[in-house]
Amino acid sequence: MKLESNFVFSKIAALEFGILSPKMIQKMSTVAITSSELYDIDGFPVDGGLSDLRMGVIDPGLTCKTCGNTIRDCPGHFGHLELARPVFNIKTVPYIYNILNSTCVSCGRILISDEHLKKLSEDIISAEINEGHKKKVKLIKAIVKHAKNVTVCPFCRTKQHKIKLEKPYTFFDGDQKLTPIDVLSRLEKIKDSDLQFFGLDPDYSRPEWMVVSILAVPSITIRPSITLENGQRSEDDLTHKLTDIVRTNQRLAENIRSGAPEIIIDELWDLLQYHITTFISNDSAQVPVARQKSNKKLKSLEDRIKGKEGLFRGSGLAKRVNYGARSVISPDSFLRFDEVGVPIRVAMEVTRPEKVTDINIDRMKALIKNFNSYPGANYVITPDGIKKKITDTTVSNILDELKSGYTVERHLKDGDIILFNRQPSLHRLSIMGHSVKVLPYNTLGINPASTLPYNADFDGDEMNIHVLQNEEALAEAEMIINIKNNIVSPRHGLPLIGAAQDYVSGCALLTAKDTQLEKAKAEFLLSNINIVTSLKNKKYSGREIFSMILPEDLNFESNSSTYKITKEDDSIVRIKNGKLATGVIDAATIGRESGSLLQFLFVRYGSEVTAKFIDQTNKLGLMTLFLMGMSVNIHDFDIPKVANNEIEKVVKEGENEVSALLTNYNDVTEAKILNISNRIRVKVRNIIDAYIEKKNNNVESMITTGAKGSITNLIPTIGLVGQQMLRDVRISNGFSDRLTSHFKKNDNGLIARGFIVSNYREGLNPVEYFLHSASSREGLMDNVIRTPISGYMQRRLSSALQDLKVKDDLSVRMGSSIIQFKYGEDGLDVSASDKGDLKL
Amino acid sequence: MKTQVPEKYIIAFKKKYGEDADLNELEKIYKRSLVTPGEAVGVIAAQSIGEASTQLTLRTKHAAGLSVINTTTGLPRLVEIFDAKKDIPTPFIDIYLNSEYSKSKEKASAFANKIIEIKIEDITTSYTVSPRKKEIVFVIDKDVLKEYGFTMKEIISHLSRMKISTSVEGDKLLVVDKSASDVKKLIRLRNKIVNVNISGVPGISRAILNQDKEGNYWIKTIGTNLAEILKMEEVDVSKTVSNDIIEVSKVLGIEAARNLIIEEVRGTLENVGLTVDNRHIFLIADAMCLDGTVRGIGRYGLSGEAESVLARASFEVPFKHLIEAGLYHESDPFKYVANNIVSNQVIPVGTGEVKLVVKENGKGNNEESSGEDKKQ
Repeated sequence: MKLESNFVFSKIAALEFGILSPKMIQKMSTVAITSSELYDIDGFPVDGGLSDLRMGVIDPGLTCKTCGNTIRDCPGHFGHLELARPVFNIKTVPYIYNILNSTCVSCGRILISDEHLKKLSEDIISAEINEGHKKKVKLIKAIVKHAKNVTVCPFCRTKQHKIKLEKPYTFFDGDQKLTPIDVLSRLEKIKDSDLQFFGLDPDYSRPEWMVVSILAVPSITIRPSITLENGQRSEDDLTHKLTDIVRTNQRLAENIRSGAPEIIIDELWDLLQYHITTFISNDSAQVPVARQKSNKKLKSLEDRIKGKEGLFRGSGLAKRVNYGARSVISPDSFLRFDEVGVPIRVAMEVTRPEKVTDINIDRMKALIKNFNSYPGANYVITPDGIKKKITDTTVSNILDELKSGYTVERHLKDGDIILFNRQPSLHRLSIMGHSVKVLPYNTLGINPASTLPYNADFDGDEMNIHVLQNEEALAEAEMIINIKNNIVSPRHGLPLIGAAQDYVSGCALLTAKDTQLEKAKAEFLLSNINIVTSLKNKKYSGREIFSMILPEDLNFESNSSTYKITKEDDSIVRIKNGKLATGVIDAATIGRESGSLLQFLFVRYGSEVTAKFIDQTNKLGLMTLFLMGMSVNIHDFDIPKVANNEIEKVVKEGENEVSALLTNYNDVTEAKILNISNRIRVKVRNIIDAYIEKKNNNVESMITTGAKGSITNLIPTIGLVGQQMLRDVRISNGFSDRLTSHFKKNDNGLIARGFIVSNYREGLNPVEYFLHSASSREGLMDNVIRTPISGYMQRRLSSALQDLKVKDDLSVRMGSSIIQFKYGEDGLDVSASDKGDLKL
Repeated sequence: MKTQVPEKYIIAFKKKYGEDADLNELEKIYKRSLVTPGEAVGVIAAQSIGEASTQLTLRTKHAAGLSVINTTTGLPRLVEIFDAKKDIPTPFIDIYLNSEYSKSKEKASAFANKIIEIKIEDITTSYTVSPRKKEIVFVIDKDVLKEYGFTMKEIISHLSRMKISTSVEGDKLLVVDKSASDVKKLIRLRNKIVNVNISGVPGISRAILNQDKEGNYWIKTIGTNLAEILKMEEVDVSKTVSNDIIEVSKVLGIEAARNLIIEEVRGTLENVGLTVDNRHIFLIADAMCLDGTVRGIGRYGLSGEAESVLARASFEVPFKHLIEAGLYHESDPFKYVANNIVSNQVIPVGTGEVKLVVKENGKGNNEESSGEDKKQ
C-alpha cells in the first residue's frame, strides 16, 4: 500500500462528461438518506443520516465503512436521497425550456420534418468531426431556434402552443402551470433518435435527467464538520443545506401520504425546490439568498467552484506548497548575481531531501548528529516511506538504523539550487533558479544586478524561495530556469541582468581614456575578482585591467553611451582578441536592458562565461569606486547665470506668444498654447544640455555613461518644472473662471493655467506645489486603475495562448491546428540569437 | 532533424569570411539560434506583451495636434485589438492619395471635402412635425447649402427613393407621408430623413489634410468606411487602411487583418518606447486569425473556444461550462496545459513533452517504444 502510493500507474488520457441518471445515482450511492438527524444522543452518526459513516471518514483513526481506508486515503462516497416529488435543477432550466418549446406537445417529437432531420443529422456529425465541438453547438442552437417557431407538429399534426418560462423555474403551458412531474413526463416522451438535435446523447444525457428525482448527496469528505474548542460540532454549509432538504422532503412525503390538501403540498414542494436550488447555486437571479442564522450567505456548490478562490482557479491551477520561505530582501553586492543570501533560520527550516548512499552515509550521519544546529537535518524517511523527526530521543535510534536507501531531509547548504520569486509574477523571469548562500542575517540577500527581472527594490519588498524536493525539478532549476540561463530576456533579446548605477559608473571610470593604476591598486582590483597574479609593470591602464576578464578570442565593436554624447572616437568600444583597445565600458555595453556586449557574449560564449563576466565587471566597477570614490554635491547641478537668464528669456517669450494668442481664445488656441509650453521645455532642455559643466561633474558623468538619470530629469530639477496637466489638458476650473484665487478671472495665460516656472532646486511656491501635486496624483491614480486592466489582459492572453508550443519541425501548433509553419517565420529564438537575427 | 540554413545567411557568411568559408561553422551558429522544440512560445508571447503593458498609458492621444480628434492609444487600444472589438470608439482611415492628388494641395483638399459625409441634418436649422397634416417641415440653412454647393432640387432627389411626397417652399422642405398613421411613424420618418446622405462617404465625419516629410498630402479621417474609400480613384489603394481590424478583415481579407493587428500592436507599444520582439506579436496575430475570421482572446474568443472543458472552466464561468459539457456529452482530451495542471499531471509542454525512447535489448531497433514517462 505505502509502496504503491509512490508510483503513478496510469494517467488521465481524457475525461468524458455526462449527467447522472437517477438509476446511476442509486447505483453509485452507498447510503439512502432517510433521517435528517446527524448524530444520536451519544454523538455517534445516525445510520441513514447525513453524517453516515458509509459516506466516508473525516475523523482521524476511524476507518471508512465502505472502503476500509482511513482519513488519508478514503475518497468519500456518494449517498442518495429519494425526493417525494421531483424538482428542477436550476442550472438546467434554460435547456429544458428550449427542449420543451421545440418538441411536440403530444407526441414528443422534435418539430422538424423527417426528411429535413436526415440532412441535419449528417450536418451535425460532419460539423463535429470537421469543425469541432464549438461549431456543432452553434448548429444545434440554430436547429432549436428554428424548431421553436414551428406551429404544427410535422408528425402528428397537433397544433403547438408556446411554453412560457417564468423565472426562475416555473413553466406555463398557456395558463396551466407545468409541475416538474408534467415536465418530466413530456421529456420522457422524446425519442432517443431525436436527442442528437439538442446535442444530447441518450447514453449520457437523457433530458429527463435534468429534472432531479433522486438527489445525489455528496460525501462527507467534501463537507467535513469541524469540532470547536468547546467540543461542539460545527457543520459545513452544504450539510446545513442538505439537512434543510432532507427535512422538507420528509414533511412533503408525510403530507402526501396523509392526503393533505393540495395547497400545503404545493407549498412544501416549492420549498423543496428552493432548498435544492440554493444548494446548487445560491445567487441565481430572482431566488432569495439562503442565509445562515448569523445572516451569512450559505456557500453553495457553485460558490465552491467559481471565482478566483474557487476550485479551478484557487485549487486547481494554483496549489499551496511546503518547503517555501518568505522574507524582506536586502541588497548584497558581495553575492554573485545568481546567488541568494538565505538566513540560517530559514536554511534550518526548509530542507532538501538527500538519498543516503554508501558514499554519503558518513556525511549524512554527521548531519543527523548535528540536528539542532547548522548544518544539520530535520527528518529521516525510511525506504517504507515512514517519516521520522530527529529529536534528542530519536537521534541515536535513527543513527543506528540509517543505511543506504533512506532519505535525509537536510538543511540547505551553499550551492543548493532553489527557486526565487517575487510577485506579481508577470513573466517567467519572475521565478528563477538561484544558488544558496547561507548567511547569518534575517533577510534574503540579493545582488542588485539581478533585481530588474523581478522588478524588485529594497524599500521593503519581500520575496519567496522554494526548495525543490525531487531530482527532476532540481535538474530543471539548474539547467533551464537558472538565472544564469535567463540573462537575456525572451521579450526583446536584451540582457535584463547587468550593470547599473555604481557598477556602470565604476567601470566607466576604470576604462576612461587616461585612467592609470599603480601596481598595488591593480592587484587589489584583480584580487577582488579572483584573479590572483603578481603583476610585472609598475602602472596599468584601466583598460588593461578590464581586458583581463574578457575571453581571449573576443572581437567586438560597439558604440558606448559616452560616445553617443561626446562623439569622441576614443569612446567607441573596440575589443580585439580579448583586449580592450579603445572605448569606455558603460551602460551601452554592460548595462541592463541595453548591454550589447553582454548579449553578444551570452549568445556566442554561453551563460557560464556571461555570468562570470557580469559578476566580474560589476565587482570591478564597485571596487574601482572603492578606490577612487565618487560623490556629487549640489554644485554639480549648477548652471551659469547666463543659462538662467536664457531660460528666463525663453519663458518670457513663451508668455508673450501665449498672451498674443489669448485675444481670440478657443480650442485651437489651447492646442497652440500646449505646443508653446512643449517648445519651452525643449528649449530649456537644450540650454541645460549646453551649459551644464561637463568636466569633473559626476552628475553629468552618470548621465553620459548611462549609470543613472538623464537630461530629462535635470529639466525640472534645475530648469523649470513646466506645464502641469490633468486629463491631457492644462489644469482648469478650481474656482469659477480661474484656477485658484491667486489668479485673475478668465486668465488663460501660461502661469494662470498651471505652468510652473520654478524648479525643484530653488523650490516651488505654494500654488505651484499644489498644482504639481494635483498632476502627480493623476499619475498615481492612473497606475492603480491600469494594473488590474493589464493584469486581466495578460490572463486572457495567457489563457488563449497557453497551449501553443513549438514542435520538432519548428512549427507552432495548438492541439491539432497549426498556428505557424515556422516559429516567428524563421524559427529563431529571440534570446538565443541576436534579437532574432544572425549577426555573423 | 535536418537543418537548412537560409540562403541569406549563407550569402552573408560567404561575404564576410570568403567564398570557401566553412559552412559547418555557420550551421553551428544557426542551430544554436533556433528555438527549442517544446518551448511554450504562446505563454512567452503573452507574458512579453502583458509584462510590457503594465507600463502603458491609459490616456487617449490627440492626433495631429488637434484636441478635437482623439485616437485610442496605450493600454485601452491594446485591449481593444486583442478583443477584436467591433465598432471601435475611434475609427479612422489614413488615406494616401495617388501622385496626381498628393502633390497638389488644392486637389487633395478638394478630395478631403468631397469625402466628408453631409446629411440632411447638417443643412437643416430646425424642423417641425405636424401629425394632423402628416407633414414634416425642414428649415434648410441656405448659407450652408450654398457653401456646399447644393441646390434644393438635388436634396429632394436624394429623397426620391422614399415613398413620400416632397415639395419646396422658400427655404423650407416639406415632406408629406400619407401612409403615416400616427406620430411615432412620423418621428421615425423624420429620424430617417435627417440621416439621409446627400454627399460624401457615409461614416466619414471629418477629413483632415496632412503633409508628410516629402511634401505629399495625405488625409486622416474621423470615422471609417474603407470599402467606399477604396473604390475612389484618387486613393492610393496599396497604402490606405483603416484602424478597424474587423472592417479590414471584411474589406481586405484575413491576411490584411493579421498585418493590421501586428502593425497596430507594434505601433501602440513603440509609442511609449517599449520594445517587444515581432515574433511575439506575429504569434498572437496568427492565433487570432487562425480560422479565417478575427477572433478575440477572451471569453467569447480563443479562450472560450478551447477544446478542453477544464481549460474553459478554469478560465471563466466554470459552472456553465461544466453543465454544458455534461449535457452535450463532451470529451476532454488531456493533451492541453490547463487540464493537466488541474489534475496534477505533467503538462505536455517543454520538458514535459519529452519521451524516453528505449532500444530494446540494445539492438538497433528503430521502432519507438511508446516510452512512458522519463521515470520508469
